[in-house]
This record gives sequence, structure tokens and C-alpha cells, in this order.
Amino acid sequence: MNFLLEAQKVVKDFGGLRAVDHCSIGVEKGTICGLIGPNGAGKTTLFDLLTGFYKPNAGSVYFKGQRIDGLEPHEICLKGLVRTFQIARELKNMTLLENMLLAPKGQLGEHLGYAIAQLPKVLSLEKENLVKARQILEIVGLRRLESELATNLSGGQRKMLEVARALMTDPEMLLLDEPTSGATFEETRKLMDYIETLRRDQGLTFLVVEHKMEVIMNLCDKIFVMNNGQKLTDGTPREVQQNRQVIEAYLGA
Amino acid sequence: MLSIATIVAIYSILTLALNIRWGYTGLLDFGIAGFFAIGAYTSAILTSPPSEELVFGVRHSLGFGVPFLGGLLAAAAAAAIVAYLIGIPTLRLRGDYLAIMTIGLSEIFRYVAVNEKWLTRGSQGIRNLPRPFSGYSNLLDSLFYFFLVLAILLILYFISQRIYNSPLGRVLKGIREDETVTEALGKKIFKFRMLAFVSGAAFAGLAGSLWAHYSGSIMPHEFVPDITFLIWVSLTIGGSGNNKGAILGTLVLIGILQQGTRFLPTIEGYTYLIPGLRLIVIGLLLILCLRFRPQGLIPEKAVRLEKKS
Amino acid sequence: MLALSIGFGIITGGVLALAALGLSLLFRTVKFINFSYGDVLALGAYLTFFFNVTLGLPLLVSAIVGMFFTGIVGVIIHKAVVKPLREGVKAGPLTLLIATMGVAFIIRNLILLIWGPEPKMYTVATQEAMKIGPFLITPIQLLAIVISVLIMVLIYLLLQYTKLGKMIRATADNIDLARIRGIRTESVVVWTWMISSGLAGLAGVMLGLMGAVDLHMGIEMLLVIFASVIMGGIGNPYGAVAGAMIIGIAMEVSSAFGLSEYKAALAYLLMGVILLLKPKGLFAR
Repeated sequence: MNFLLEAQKVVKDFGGLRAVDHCSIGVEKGTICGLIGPNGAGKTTLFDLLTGFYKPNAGSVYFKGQRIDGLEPHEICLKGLVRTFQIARELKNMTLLENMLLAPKGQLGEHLGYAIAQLPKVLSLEKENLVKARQILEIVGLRRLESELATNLSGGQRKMLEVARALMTDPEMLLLDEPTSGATFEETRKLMDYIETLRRDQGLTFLVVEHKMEVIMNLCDKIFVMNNGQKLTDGTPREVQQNRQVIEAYLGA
Repeated sequence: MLSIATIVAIYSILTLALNIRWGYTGLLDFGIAGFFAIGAYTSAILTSPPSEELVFGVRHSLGFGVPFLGGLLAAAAAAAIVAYLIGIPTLRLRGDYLAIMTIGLSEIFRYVAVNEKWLTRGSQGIRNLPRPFSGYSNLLDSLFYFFLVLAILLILYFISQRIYNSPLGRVLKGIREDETVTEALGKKIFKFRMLAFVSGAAFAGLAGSLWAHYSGSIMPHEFVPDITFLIWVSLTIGGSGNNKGAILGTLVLIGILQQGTRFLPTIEGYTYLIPGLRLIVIGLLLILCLRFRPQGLIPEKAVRLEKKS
Repeated sequence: MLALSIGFGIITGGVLALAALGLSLLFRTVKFINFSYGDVLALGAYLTFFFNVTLGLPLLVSAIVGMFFTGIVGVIIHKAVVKPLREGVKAGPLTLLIATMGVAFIIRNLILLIWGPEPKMYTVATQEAMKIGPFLITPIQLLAIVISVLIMVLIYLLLQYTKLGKMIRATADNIDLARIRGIRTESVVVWTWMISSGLAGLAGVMLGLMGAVDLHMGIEMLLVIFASVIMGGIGNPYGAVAGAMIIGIAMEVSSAFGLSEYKAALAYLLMGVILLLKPKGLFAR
């Protein structure tokens, strides 16, 4: 089974507490997978492990066949794996466009010499990124707010911005941490459609942490269930729905 | 008047330097005075006429007679190099610790300046620093020097603005706003912090050289944390994050308060009265500004993303 | 010779420990670094001078009164600067650091205006150094160490066993939780400022006794105090005490080896090394 992203028996301890306990998951390219579990199950910590914000105490993480545990977060992003955060981390005092334009990789203008000289190459790159940013903002319905400071957005809009911004890094895979929390029904549906479109048209792969069951059930090809740091089970939405242990975990939580 | 203008211009460069570190990138830096000193001393040591002398009984060969321009460039380079070396260990520290470390380092520079007499002539300082236009009359000399400083200020302003409006500036601001996200988006935080730190140092070093030659002589006790304090208040009042604000703030603070009050009468026997009062007022200004107008006189403007065609 | 330095180091460390304890306690509760702490220390020394020399009160009384008023100054800083900033513009720790830098300059220059730039001395009889084992020490210095230790023990008892102490610890650990549990956190914060500043004032008096009361004593000590606090692990008051002792002894011993001008620089370097290797300090909680 060829996984785009794979975690093999990863462990994360914080002092005496084991937040992630020999968790193994594998996500195939072009799929949309879900990660569910009660609060405190370790989902966000797993994301942190997958994207380099924490180093696992044991186990390993592979992306595109290469070992990535132990790399810095920015290095992992450059390889094509990007994440969003559970609590939206918009760059408050910057406009939406600035938030978006921060993300793209390979911006020549980030080097001191180029920044000062602002050669035509730099300017045209900017323009390209600007066009792309506007396209994405248009799709997620935030285009008209492009010059607003990010701090003025609503909760759901902020999460939308997180996703849009992540897309600007030209990723192959996105890890989305509760992308629809705080979103309206409309916004949620729009995001779900967008994710589906991205998968279909661009072959992007997704791993999504979600609490809204209708999102998970309708969107995901495969679901991983975590509880107490361990992976309880995985399977199709139907399988997971009928799994006894899963039901108990949620009721017992 | 001219001397006030020159001083304001030189200090403005320092404020621009702090703005790059704090205003753009959010690096809490209390050590600007240290890089100012390094620049001043580097330039002074290099440009002093060569001399063998006995200083406190120590045989002392100081000065290489390097022309002014050389001193200027060397000052910037020296400050930048030192910043780079210091930055490697310290830029990984969190905000408030960095602040303390930077003061500590700035104080260490001062100790070195005082104690390493073989290098810096100790507390006596270095005198007789050459001015590039000393061939002309006093008035013309000062005038030309002012224009020189002004020219350099404008160039540095231009460079700062360019950085601000560029993708680089965006990354720096991203680091200021939320380092974790910026890192998650693929930017190597350490590299950019270092860039800001070293750039700020180079600016400060330049200012130091300009100061040394304006002043004609330098002594270690000039480079005290008070300078850092004044620059901070200038930036805060003017508008942190904003280069125009930085210059305006410096103009207001240094120009009006610091130098303008020079002309108030001194009371016999209480020569410290005016300077003391001045600093108290400045301190109060800082606190009031933070409380009532934290964005400063000129708030940070949103970046212009498209060139006007 | 070495023993002598260690002896001086213990004395310096003892005074430093008082100051470090105060700063550490304050940081634990208010969660930002108070940049004016050093100048509050100096103010304490000067206030005591006022009572001792200007008003002619005996030294011990002056010190106690001085301590008390220094504590009040701390409370004023809280009420006039920190609280308005926190509530008015939701100032974070970095902003408060900058603001207290302003306070530091204000205090330092107030001292300058009121007392002038000349160093001052307390009225106290000239001291004969006694020999205790390998150490050389004057009665005043001995008294200073004894009082320091006494005060530290008192603070420990206060924190562990009294109601106020428990409230302080609860507020320091989690201010919101403490408020929910009915603790009047504002009072606790005020008390913490009072105690912390009082400690600073006392340290200032001791420094003044052993050297002179000088305008710049605050800023000179501040970084060394920081070094102690950070070394011991910021937020750990007892670690701060240990850090202070280590730094005090290190400073004096290095002085014996001919590096006396760089005494303070050594402290910063030590602090830097610790920050790099063990950023949480030697005795992190």
C-alpha cells in the first residue's frame, strides 16, 4: 500500500503524560481522510508530530516515501505538506491579501538583495501570486474583503482564510485542523465542495480533523479514530459508524 | 540649528534601525547603543591619524589614517559582523530574554571600550577625528556634513521602505504577528530574524561612524543605555512599524525635546536639573503614548500591493 | 585568597538573592519582566538615606521605614502604569517591559533631581573587619547576611503557610482560576508588588551600606539580578536565590583572578550560557 503520508507507531510523551501512543496511520494520494476522536484524544498533537512542530519520542513519519520526522516545520512545508491550526491563526494586523501573499514558496523578493532592488522578475512574481491569491479568495467568498485586516473577520471566515492561505503554498497535501469550526452552514458546505473540487481537479490529498459528523461522513473516503492517544480503528465512514469501540469512546468521553 | 538637524538626522538612522528589528520583525532589542558604539569606534580607530603614544603608561599605536569613507563602510561592516556572531546563539531566545541579553551585550561592549585601552584608549576616548570637509570654512564644513548625513538617511529610508513593501517585509511582519504560522508556511524563522538583526546593526554602525566624525571625539560613557531609551521612545511616539513615523518621532523627541531644551537657562549649581527633568518627561511621554496612542503619531499603513500603472 | 573571595561572594550573593527573590516573585504573579526593579532598589536605598541622614533616625528604623515606602512605590507603579495599560490597551508582556523601562528612567531621574548626582553614605560607625574562619567580614556585612537569610525564611513561611501566601501562589499559577475560586486577585497582585518592591528596597539599603548609595546602582544591579533570576529559572523564587548565590560567588572569585572590571560582564555571560544550554534555568519548575 503506497501512502503519501504515513506515520508508523509514533509516540509523544510530555513529562509523565503520553499524548500519542504508538499511532499508525496511512493516507493515500488523492484521498480525503478524516481524523476524529473525543477532545484530548491527541489529534492536534498528532498533527504537530506530522508537521515537525514536535519530534516523536519514538516511531517515524514518511511523506512521499521520505522520512520527515525530525525536520523543521518550514522544511516540511517546502516538501509539500502544509497544515492549518485548530484555533485560527490569522496574521491579525495584516490584510487578507498580505496573509495570502506571505505563503507562496520561492519568492525571490524574500532575499535582501532582491527585496531592495525589486527587479522586474520580483515584480512579475508578485503579480502572479496576486492573481492566484485573488482567485482562491474568490472561490472561498472572501474576495471582497481582500483589503480588510484579518482581525476583522468572523470566526468561520478566519478558518476559511487559513485554508486559502495554506493553498498558496502549492501543497500536495493539506492537514486541516477543524476547518469548519465557527463556520455557518453555508460556509461549511462551500468548504466541503471546495475540498472535493481540489481533490478532483488538482489531485490534492487531505487529512481533516473534524467534529461535525455530517462533514466527515459525506466528505471522507477513510476515517481514523483516535482515543487516548491511540488509534482505535480506521475504515470507511460506514464501517467506523458501526464500530462498537468508536461508539463507546464517544459516549464515554 | 544646523547641529541639531545633524544630530536628529543621525539619530533618525538609529530609529530606522530599531524599526527594522522591532517595528517590522518584533525583535525586542535594547542593545542598539552597543552597535552604535561599535560603528563609532571602528570608524574612529581606523580613521585616526597614526600615532604612537603613551597612554596610561601603555605604548599605544592607534589609527590607520583610513579615509572617511573607509571608516564609514567599515563601521557598518563591523557592526553587521558582530551582530551576526551574536545572533547565532541569541536569536533563538524568546522575546523578553532577548531584550535582556541585548542590554547585557551592549554593556559588555561598553566595558570593553573602557577597559581594553590598547584598542580604544579607555575612558579617555579617541579624539581629533577627521571630518571629510575640513578643508572648507567651519560653516561650510558643517553644512556639507549635514547634507552628507541627510543623504545617507534618505538612502537608508529608501532601502527600508523597499524592504517593507517587499515579500521580505511581509515575512518579517509575519514573524512579528505569529511566528508559528509563518514557520508553518515554509519560512525559516531564524534566517529572517538574523537578517533583521544584522540589517539593523549595519544601520546603527553607519550612524555610529557619522556620529563619531560629527562629534570629533568619542568616549565610552557616551554610549549608555540612555541612547537606546531615547530611540525607543522616538520610535514609539512616531509610530512603530512605520519608517516615516520613525523619522518623525525622532524629530519630535530628539529635535524638540532633547536639543530644543538645550537653550533653557541652567540654574547655577544644578546643572543636572534640566537633563533630569527632560528624561522624566520623556519617560512619561513613553508611558502615556503606550497607553493612549500605542500606534504612534503615524500608524502603520497597509502595504501597497500594486504599483500604480 | 580564594576563600576570601568566596566569602565576599556569599555576601554579594546574599544581597543579590534578596533582590532576585523579589523579582522572581513578582514575575511569577504578573508574568512580565519589571524593568524598573533596579531603580526601585536604588530608590529604596535613597529613601532610607533620607530617613537615616536627613531625618537622623537610627539605621535600622530607617531601613524598615524605607522598605515600607519602597513597597508603596511598587504599588504605585502597578496602579498608575501597569494596570491602566493592561486594562486600557490590553498590553502584553513586551509592551509592559517597554513601559517599565520608561518608569525606570523616571525614577532614576527623580532621584537625580531630588538628591543630586553625588553618591551618599549612611551614618554608621566605621567598621572593623573581623576574621571568621578563613573569611574577612565586617559586622554590618554579617548582619546583612543574617537579615537576608531571615527574610528569605520569612518569605518562605509566608508563601507556604499563610493564607496570603496560598493566595499568592494560586494567583501566580492561574489567575483566572484563582478569581473564579473567589480570591481577590487585585489585592493579591498589590501585595505582591508591595513585598517584591520592599525586598528590592532592602537589597538597596544593604548595597548602600556595603558600598555607597549611588544613582546608577539600580541599573548596574538590574542585569545581574536578571542573570540570577534567569539562571535559577524564571518564576522559581528559590531557584533565583540559588542563582544569585552562584553568580555572586562567581563574580567575586573572578575578581580575585584579576578580572574585576568585567565582574558584571561575567554575570551576563553566565546568564547567556545558561539561556543557551538550559533556557528554563538550572532549577526549572
